[in-house]
Amino acid sequence: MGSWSQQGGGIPFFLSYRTACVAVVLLLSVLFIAGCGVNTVSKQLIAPAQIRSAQHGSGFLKAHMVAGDMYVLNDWRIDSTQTRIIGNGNHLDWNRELLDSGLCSVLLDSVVIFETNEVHPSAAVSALGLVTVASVAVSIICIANPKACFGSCPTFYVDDGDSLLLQAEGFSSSVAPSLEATDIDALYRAKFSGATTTITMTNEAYETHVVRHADLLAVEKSPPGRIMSTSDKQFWEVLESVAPNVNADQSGMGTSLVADFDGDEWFSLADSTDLSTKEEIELQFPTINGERFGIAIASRQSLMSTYLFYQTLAYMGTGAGEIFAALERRGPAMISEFRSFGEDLGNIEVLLLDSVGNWKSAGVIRETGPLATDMHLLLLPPDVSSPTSVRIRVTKGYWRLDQIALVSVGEQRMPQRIHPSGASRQGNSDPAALAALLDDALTLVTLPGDTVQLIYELPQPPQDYEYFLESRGYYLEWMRENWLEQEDRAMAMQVITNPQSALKTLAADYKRIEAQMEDYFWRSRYAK
Amino acid sequence: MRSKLALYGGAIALLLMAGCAGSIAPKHWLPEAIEVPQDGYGSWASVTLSIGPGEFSEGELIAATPDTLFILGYEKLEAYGFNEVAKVHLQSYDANYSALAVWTTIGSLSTISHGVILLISAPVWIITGTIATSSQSHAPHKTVVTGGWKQLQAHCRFPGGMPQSIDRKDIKPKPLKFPDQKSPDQVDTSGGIH
Repeated sequence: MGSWSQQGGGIPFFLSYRTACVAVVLLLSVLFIAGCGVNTVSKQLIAPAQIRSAQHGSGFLKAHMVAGDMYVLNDWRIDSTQTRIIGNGNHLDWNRELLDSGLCSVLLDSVVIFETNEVHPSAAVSALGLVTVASVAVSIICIANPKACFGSCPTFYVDDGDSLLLQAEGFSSSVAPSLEATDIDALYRAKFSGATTTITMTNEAYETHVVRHADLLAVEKSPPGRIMSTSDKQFWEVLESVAPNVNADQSGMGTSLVADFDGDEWFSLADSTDLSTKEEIELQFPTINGERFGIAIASRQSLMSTYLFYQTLAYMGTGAGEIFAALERRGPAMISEFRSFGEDLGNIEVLLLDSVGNWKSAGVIRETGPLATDMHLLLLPPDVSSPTSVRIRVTKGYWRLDQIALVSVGEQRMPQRIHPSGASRQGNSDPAALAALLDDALTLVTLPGDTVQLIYELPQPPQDYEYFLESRGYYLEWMRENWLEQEDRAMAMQVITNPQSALKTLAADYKRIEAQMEDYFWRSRYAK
Repeated sequence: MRSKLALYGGAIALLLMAGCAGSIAPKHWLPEAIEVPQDGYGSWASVTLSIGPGEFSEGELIAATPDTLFILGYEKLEAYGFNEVAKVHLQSYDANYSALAVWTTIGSLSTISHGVILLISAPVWIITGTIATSSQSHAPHKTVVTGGWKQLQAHCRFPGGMPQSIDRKDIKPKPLKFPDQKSPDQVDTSGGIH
């Protein structure tokens, strides 16, 4: 990859991205047409006695005569006496020099053998044709939507008992040094055994990741209870959990999709005129016992957040660095205001009925990142009994919800912090990386394609603990060459100063690519 | 960047050509696939003889009778008893696979327009293209060994056997599409068994 990666799209410097893509599409189309002339031939000999049953008129027929001469016939047929074959063609001598041409009548008794040759388009052309069509489609999509093709966040792969599963993404909203933040992700599907575990931290995008620390938090649990974290980083024991009542699904949202944390996600599509348009879904729950209750939601963002961030960078264009620096100079308040553009969109709000039948907000769950599905607990107020009706308010098309559960909550728990005890990069021990993660004055910097394995010593027995990953740091998104074509400082300022208006302006553009974005995003990971 | 592209293009082209079957016939001798249904000549044959190490013959496949193979070589019509023949390698037409090689090379290089998706699309292009090009290059080739001589008949100028009425010295070689190229000379008139 080398220098390609720094140009984002990997386009030669002497071509603009769009020009290169159009050229590729045209060239491959020409080659596709040219390839249609690549054929194969299947040859068959037919004895004179069998020619009567052959399919008449099927292409050219060669009649090899006893004397060595040959007829090459087209539009041929057996005559009514069944003794002659008649067709238009050429009569050639044994040196294949032309004797006669036109309507020929050949006596079957004088033919030694017939020969047919069928010409087929080569299967190789079909195979390359399929690849060409797919390749051109990718090129066209990249022309129309370069921002769907790249990007991710710091990602953590954790053992789920069978394989390494993407279970956490670190500090996804920390896109500048002044936005450095601590992020806690539940490793809800982790299954650890033995004395140690290895978590793989990767950089799969054109980003520079600056990691201050990546610690494992272990919280003791009392099976079958689980431990969940709230958005304000508290850890609570969850005693019982119930799924929404599928039979009461009046909203048609597909309640069964959110019954279990199983990868089957509920999601909706964005509004076509205003990306900030909200929607509410109502769920009915059976009553459960307990003293305090909460709503547990396993979710990740759709790629709308990624799109908005990248589109903003594209609008900033060559001035992105300057604008970010200016935002940073004005202090955390200014840059937080910029970040709130996404956060306003990103809350999952839970509403409950009050005593007079009005829906009131019970709080929000907030988590940034479209990659790893994270489990969060919203603790309901202490005076709320087991709610039978709950409404979830989200921005249309902004979330993918894997599980929504009503839970009874026990005691608050304190986590046990576990620092990494070993680190390796690309399989080689890296004491410097470990030292950086253990000293908060230092940072571990990773570049696209970097993989760092972090080793943690587990409390014993490991299955008696719930695990969370706490990461702190920030990352710098690399400007892509093809984004620069959309530089528009006025739009950049509109996003920063008037995000509500910008969300309406961007709606149509996002709707054009919304359906394909998820697929292309996941196929565009960067790996060495 | 340009030198890198050239390097990658060259590497892909080399990879493609490595697994391909080259033409065994003289240049401009073979028909295109589309011309085969009207072409009256036999396939080009490369014959490995069993009469001694390195004994070899090649030319147009004229006829294959139950016991004799007739080849119109560069200098004369040659006839070999099948007990002298170890292997016959045939090529019936020009596979035109270089078009696929060019197609694959350009397609592979085009994946630079895919950004990081090229990590998937480039290998797909190279693997599919290599298999497709190699497959096409081998399509017109056929190797026949002892026990399979009957398969040669379909590829002869005279698939029904050597016509009795022909004076073998009068059998002429196939004219090249481009006459200035080297071609098999006029045949020897003896036509005897070697």
